[in-house]
Amino acid sequence: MCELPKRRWRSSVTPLRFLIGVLALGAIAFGWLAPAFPWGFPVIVQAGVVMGVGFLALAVAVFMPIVREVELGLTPSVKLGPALRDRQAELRSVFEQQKGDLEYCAHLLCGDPEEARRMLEAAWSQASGAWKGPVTPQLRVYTLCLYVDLLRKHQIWLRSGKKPPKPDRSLLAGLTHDQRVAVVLHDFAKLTVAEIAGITEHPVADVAKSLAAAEAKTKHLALEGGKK
Amino acid sequence: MKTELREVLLAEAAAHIRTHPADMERALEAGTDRVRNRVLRTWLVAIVAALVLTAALVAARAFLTQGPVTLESIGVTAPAASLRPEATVRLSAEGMYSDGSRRALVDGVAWASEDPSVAEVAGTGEATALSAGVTGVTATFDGVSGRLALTVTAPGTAPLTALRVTPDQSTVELGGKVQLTAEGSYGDGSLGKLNQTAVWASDRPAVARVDGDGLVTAAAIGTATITASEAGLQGASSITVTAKPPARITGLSIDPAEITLKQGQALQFRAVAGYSDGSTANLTDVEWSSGDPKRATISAAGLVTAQGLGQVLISAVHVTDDGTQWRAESKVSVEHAVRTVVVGPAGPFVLQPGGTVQLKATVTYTDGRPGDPVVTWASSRAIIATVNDGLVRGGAVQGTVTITASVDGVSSNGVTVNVGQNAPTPGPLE
Repeated sequence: MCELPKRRWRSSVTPLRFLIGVLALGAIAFGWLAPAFPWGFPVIVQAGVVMGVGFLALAVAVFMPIVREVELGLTPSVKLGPALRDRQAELRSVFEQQKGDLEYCAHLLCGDPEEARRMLEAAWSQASGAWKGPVTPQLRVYTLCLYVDLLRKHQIWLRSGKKPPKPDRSLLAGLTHDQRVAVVLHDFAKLTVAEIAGITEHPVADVAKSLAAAEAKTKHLALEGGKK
Repeated sequence: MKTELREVLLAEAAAHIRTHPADMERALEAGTDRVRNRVLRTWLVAIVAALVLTAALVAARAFLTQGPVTLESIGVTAPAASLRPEATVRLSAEGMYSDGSRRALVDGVAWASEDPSVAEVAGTGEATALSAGVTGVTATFDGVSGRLALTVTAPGTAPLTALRVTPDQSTVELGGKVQLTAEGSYGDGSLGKLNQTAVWASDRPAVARVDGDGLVTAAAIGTATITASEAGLQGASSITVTAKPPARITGLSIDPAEITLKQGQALQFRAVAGYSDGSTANLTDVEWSSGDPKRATISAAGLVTAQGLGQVLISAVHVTDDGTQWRAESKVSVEHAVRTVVVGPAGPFVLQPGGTVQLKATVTYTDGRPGDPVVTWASSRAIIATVNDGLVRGGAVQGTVTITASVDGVSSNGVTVNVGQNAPTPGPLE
């Protein structure tokens, strides 16, 4: 479904972390192989301490910073709390820029304004929770993708008859779901047909067909609008 | 899409946005919480994995490298390495093992002094200084030895700096004794034993007396403080005298523990109690019982009477004041009794001095069968004739004797033997 941009963890393996990792593995090997230790405790205890220090160094100084960097991107803060706040501020800034655009698309895609608001908030929440690494413009497409997926599931749920759908008074209510998604994402979100095909998981030709059909219907709508 | 329609749609959406504004901040908070939880979970897993891997490798190494832990060296220590003659110190031995561990060695340590004229070491590790000099004391365990140099210094001018009495407190039973030791520390770092030179005193001699060598005798129940004084210094020890605990039964037995009786024979049994102080006593408040009264009966006083053939267990039960029950058993075997003993030939016999005649005893048991038990022979006058295993031999003195045989208290008929006299013709053997 909605795919995140690939994050390469190898870029997080800095020379310092590599050196610490090598030293930690060396300590583990030493603890495993050394026949004797210089301190006055049982050999097995000393071996355990040395291997434990090696494993903990590997976890704390190598693995955990890499995890933090893959999750949150480069951040000046070593501690998790400030790093999360930095990341939240970064996401907020980007979402603020995209907010108007996304809200328009959300309400154009869904005729029920309450559901549109709820699903947009859910899409933002999922996007900010799943996004890894530095924030890029791809975040907008990813959020739209999540929204379209939520909308699809919502309509499936409505068709199951568990809740009566509210009447859709939008001018786009006459379009099918695929046509409405295609025309809104293309004409308002300015996405390419290929991007829409990726979001909807439909072939490009099908998206093009839906778009053409939607264009034809909206011309008719325009004429009616003009008469009005 | 036509511009007019586009503007209409945007206006429609804008109206919805105004009436239903989305709360981006709340959504952002919820997403950030998920990230925080995911990172913390990953870190926790990393730490746990590090600890688990460490434990696994330690266990694997311990399993793969386990071998006999060997004693590598022994360290010998003493409260002081410099002693004065007669001073005693308790030496300690600590073993250093191949796995790096250390352990105090107590049992099985062989102690020795390199120069016993300077200091000797008992098997318990107690070193006693004897004369001025330097010696090494060694502790050997499992073929490994450790050494400590002990210096015995001659009494010098170094002042006595401290005095203590050991043990500093003890509990002794009434009538018991305890030996105290007055130990002095000198300015040159040496230790000395002051039992003979110190002045010993008891604050309550009626409770505990002390002699001039520090031997305390418990005289009455209570607590007394024993002091040793010398050169203005004093050490003390607290002695608590307690009553002797009453001896308690530690075992019960029957005397005899096993016996064979003849039918009809009676024997007095005894119940013997063993006590914690090592003493024994016959018990009278014992309940006796027989496992099979057809074979043997026992009276309330412990008199056993054999009745029928076979084995039977006689039991004695004693209940102490605290309700503890003690029980003992004795195995009694009952066998047939002798019914008759007949000696033949019946005689009478006439023997010249030195002449002999062989007699034979025939024993019959209560079940009618013969037997071959040990027979006791007797001559009424041994000076006239002796009898040994049925062989009668005439003596130097003339006269008449009667020879009898007995088995288990049953006596035979008498056979008359005349020595040096005429006698009637011998009769038939009965």
